[in-house]
Amino acid sequence: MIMNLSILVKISPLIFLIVFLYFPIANLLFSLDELSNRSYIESLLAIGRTPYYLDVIGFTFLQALISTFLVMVVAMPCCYVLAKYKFPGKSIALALLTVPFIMPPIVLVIALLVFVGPNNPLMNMLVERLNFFNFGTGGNFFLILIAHVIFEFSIVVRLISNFWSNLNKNIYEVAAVLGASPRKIFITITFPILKPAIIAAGSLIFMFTFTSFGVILILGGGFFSTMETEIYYSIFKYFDLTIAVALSFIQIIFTIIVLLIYSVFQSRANRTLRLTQGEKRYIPIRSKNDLIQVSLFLLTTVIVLSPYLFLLVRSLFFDGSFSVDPYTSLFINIDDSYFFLSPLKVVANSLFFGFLTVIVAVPLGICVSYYLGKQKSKFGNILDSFYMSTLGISSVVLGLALLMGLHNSVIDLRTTWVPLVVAHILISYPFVVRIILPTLNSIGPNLIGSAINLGSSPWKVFTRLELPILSKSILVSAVFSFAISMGEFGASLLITRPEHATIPVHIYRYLSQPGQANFEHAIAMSCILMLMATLGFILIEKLRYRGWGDF
Amino acid sequence: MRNSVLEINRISKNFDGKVNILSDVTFSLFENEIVGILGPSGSGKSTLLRLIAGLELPDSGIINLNGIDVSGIAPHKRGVGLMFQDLSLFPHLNVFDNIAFGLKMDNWQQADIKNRVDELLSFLRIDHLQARSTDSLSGGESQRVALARALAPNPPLLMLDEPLGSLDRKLRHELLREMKDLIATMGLSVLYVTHDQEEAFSIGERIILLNKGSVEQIDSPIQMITRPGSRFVADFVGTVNMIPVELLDRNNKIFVDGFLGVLELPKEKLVDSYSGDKFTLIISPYSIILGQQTTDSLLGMIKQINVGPGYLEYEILLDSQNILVARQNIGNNSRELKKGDSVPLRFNMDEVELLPW
Repeated sequence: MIMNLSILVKISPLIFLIVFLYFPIANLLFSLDELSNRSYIESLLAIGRTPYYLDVIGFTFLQALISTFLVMVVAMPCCYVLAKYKFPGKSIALALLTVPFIMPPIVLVIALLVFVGPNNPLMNMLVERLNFFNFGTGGNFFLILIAHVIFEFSIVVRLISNFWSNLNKNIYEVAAVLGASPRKIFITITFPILKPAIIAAGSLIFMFTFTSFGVILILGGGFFSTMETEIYYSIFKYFDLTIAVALSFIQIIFTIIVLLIYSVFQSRANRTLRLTQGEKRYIPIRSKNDLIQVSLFLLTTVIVLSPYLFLLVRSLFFDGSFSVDPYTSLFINIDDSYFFLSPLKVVANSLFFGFLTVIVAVPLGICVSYYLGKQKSKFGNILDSFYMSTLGISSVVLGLALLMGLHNSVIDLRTTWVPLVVAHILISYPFVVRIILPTLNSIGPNLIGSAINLGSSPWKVFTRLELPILSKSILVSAVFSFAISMGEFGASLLITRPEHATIPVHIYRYLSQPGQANFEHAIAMSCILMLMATLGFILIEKLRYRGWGDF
Repeated sequence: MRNSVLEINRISKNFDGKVNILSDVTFSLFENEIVGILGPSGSGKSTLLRLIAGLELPDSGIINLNGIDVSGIAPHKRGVGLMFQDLSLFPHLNVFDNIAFGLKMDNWQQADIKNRVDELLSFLRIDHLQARSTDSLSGGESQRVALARALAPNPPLLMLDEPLGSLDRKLRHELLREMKDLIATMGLSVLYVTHDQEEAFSIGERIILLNKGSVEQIDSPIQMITRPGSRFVADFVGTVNMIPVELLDRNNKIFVDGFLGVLELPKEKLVDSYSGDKFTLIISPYSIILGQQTTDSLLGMIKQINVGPGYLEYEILLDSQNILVARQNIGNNSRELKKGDSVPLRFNMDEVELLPW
């Protein structure tokens, strides 16, 4: 019985991943000959010979590199302030910084569009005077970077400030007593110790921005294209599946490399933390200089959050006066369109898929965490990357693979919502693992050992001891995977059939139709999504869970 | 008179919210002297070291290091050695580079650094560890590396904050002996902070006992045990048999009255006290003579017998609630006593102490 259970824990995630991820991806990669008269190699060569695609690949790297660099530059001083000072409102600021992370990217995109849109007097002035954020001519590179910085900022701040505050402060003091000036301490001690954590966080951000989809698709306006959006265009605009698959192949190779780098440096960072973990010790604001630093951090937080606030306020104004028209008119089928979906139906869809995602992704994540947690071999990093790989595989590629893989002579699931939910599960379960694994690792072998010593069977150890300790993490991971499902855009856009439209897909539909009314609808719908995400965020905060810093 | 390395003059420190972390602390440390700073947790021991190192600034008072007031000097320019209980080895540097850190900060030549580190490595018998990373070291090895790192720049003052705190008992004894030898050989001036009385007494020539931020007593270990200056000191150094008594003055003879009955004191024990004053009578466990029936002996029952290093300890029940502790060196016991035995006992009154109540 015990044997069977542990085999089940190991086998079930593996089977799930093989059936729903690796088989579809492999199928995608090897089914080219059937799809086209061009072979696989030929497509790769075609990409290599076409300057346009080389530009796309180059731009993908460039924007990811610049975005990552900018995020780090903006976030690191904030991490420093958070690791050093205690000040009034710190915990609130930290909690609010979670908002952009849990908020679906499409909400941020809409918020930025509104922010630079024609109805913002500040932006009007900037556009007129400086011709700076001119959004009229198609895409805007600055907006893409701003979106990435806002979206990824909170991840870096959480990851690194958490790591930084947990470092043993005595180390700096020993260095000082040994003759190191504050500047020398930073160069010889602080920075080298932080380096693995910085590289790990940086590679995670690089990967997220490398495969960023919604931001580029909408803010790039067809003018800027990355591999991810190009895959999408190849499928839907040019109907050239071989190019899409070849691009996916290149992208997967790169993301796997980045994931491996992440994994190696993350485990180094964890080792450092294990060695030097000390009590958290913060200093109060004492000097003018301290005050300036803390104020700059708070200002950054406000700036990062401002687009969301602006969006909410803007949604209640139509033609310059207070109005709820954009909300109420969501329910009116003006064109008597066959494809009209009531916003209630769309919200219901999202809730339903979110629910299904949670009930599969959470147990799946628990099984994987369990397996990774007990795994002590030197292949731990590779195994970790293997299970975490959906973090890096582009959502569009995933969507495409599922569309093609889940139909064959035996079953045809393409017309059902199954591929959509599977995509959401695959995208959200790594986050479940990342939330549960640290808690699981914190249950020492002594605790489990003493429980076994007291006569508990492994099953009892799990249900009576581990499950209660994990319960909070499990709840948080449930909220997280729900939020991810609610906000998922790339795979959903590709897979969703009209009647199964989710909120982000619906927002995009509004956005891709002309007219101010549709834009107002997109704004109203985004606010609905934002409020739902905020609800999830409040739930997480209510659970008072602070341990998700360890990705 | 030896030169003083460190002079602390009326140092006080309050933290935000908490008052009197340290109040009015004054003492000196002489060249080649080891002073143990002893006190319960929260008594301000570590804060005292942090103030001397410059990691915190005192609210008032003066710290003189080698005759120089260091008030305005930043920690990295004070040149003292400090070792924390958690050792705080630099996790990203190997053993050699950990030890060399202070020398590099002091801009030593590469060759001199190598010589100095090698010297310390062999002195502490850890030559074989020099290329190792810090996470592969055992507790005792880490401790030696941290000590070598603190010693490397030849600090005029070495401060050790619970340096053996995280080790097990056997290793502590071993390292304590080693450290004593090392300090003596190198002729170091040391402040040794610990909450462990045994540790402090075995290493310190003098002991500063702190209580709630104030100095309770500065004395040699022997003095502190035999002549504790207050009830707190007596309590802290583990004095047993503290008996509340009232002074009686009869016919030019002095008596004390407590649960042991009325006992006569040798005259030299007291000056300037009056009948009715309250005191604490301290009877050393070795001053209780067991098994000799005389006219003034009391009767007790052996409740418990404990075996200590080299002695037997008897817990003797006098009545329903009062217990005395007596010790006899093993081999000295006149007759075998067993648990439950009734035993006559009396006191060597020349060896008792009287403390203010």
